[in-house]
Amino acid sequence: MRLVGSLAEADDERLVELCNHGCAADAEAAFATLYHRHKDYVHRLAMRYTHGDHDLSLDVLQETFGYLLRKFPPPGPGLTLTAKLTTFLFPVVKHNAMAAKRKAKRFAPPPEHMPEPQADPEHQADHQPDDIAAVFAGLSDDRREVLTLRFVDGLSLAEIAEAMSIPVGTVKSRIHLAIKQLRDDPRVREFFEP
Amino acid sequence: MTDHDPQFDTLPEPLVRKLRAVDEASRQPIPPQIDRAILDQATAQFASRAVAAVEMADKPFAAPHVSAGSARWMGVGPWGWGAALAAAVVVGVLVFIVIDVFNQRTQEMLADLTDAAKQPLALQPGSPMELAWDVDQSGRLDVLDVLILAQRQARGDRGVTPDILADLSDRIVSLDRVASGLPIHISETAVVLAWLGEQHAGAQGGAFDGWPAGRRAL
Repeated sequence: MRLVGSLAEADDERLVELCNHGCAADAEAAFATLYHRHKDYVHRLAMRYTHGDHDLSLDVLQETFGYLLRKFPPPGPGLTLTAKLTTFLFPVVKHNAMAAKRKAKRFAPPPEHMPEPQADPEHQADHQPDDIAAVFAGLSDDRREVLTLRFVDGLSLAEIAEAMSIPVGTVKSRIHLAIKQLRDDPRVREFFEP
Repeated sequence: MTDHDPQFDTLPEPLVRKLRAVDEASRQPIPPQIDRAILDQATAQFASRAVAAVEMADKPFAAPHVSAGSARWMGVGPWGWGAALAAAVVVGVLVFIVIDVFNQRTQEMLADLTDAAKQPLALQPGSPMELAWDVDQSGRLDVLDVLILAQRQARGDRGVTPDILADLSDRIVSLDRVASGLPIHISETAVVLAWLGEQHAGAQGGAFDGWPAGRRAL
């Protein structure tokens, strides 16, 4: 039975089920739907964890969906979702990004041969007015990570906790400390004033 | 987190919008070649699933579950069911015949054994028992042989001991009991042996003590 026409409205659980047990055509269509639905999220995460390295983030994107694909039979045993698919994908992206960065650093040319970074006046001008990016860069990795997941990606506290494999209380604590640090920063203090 | 304050749990909406704008600004498009590579990988993997399914269907015993109502059994047809019924009947008749023949043979063997048991003890010509104890040459070991042997023993024949006499008496009594079919039988052998004991005791002026330990005349 071909379900391609209705796949766009199907939720992730249904698509994963089709990838697990559907016929070849349905599984392929369901996986394509999953890919197009979540590729931007995965790419965005990859860009964050590779610190904006576009090539590395594309490698991470392929690695992540290749990992997801291998979960489905054959040869995988099948994927059972216990949370959102984005929650499942988050640690995969993070792990792949870290691995890609380590590999890139290992095979990077010696410092004396590295090209000089080119100053981009437009790029600097874009971020100069509000310094939001700089303020965020000043946060620790842990605090910036939970703050981004919570307010940019819109994940709940429980989803963040599951994705990062940490207790919910730790998530709350990191968010609390991150916001406190932002409130104390004069560059963004105006956002907190009544 | 000692100083819990709700104002530290949320960000102002304008700051959230700025953060999202910064995140959006860092986004770059995903090249179509990447999409194609990933989806081609999926196509190849799921195509192998179709091949595996076809291979499973081609295997003769690939069906993991066969119920009584499945097409596999429904395909037997009425002729097949009739042949199976006829085969079952033939097997049943053969089993009945074998059991009947076995019963007949068993009855015949039991009858032969009973007849043999009812026959008087006949020594086989030339057997050691005949040579040793059929002293009156009658062709059978009986109470007369025991009587003669007892007389020899009473006369001091060292070849005949009380143990031999006792064993022969037991044997003759047991054989006599089987032949008569009586569960408890005081046979002529026992009477003769009792008489022998009395005679022997009277001749020696005391109780007969020629019996082995634990044995007494009836």
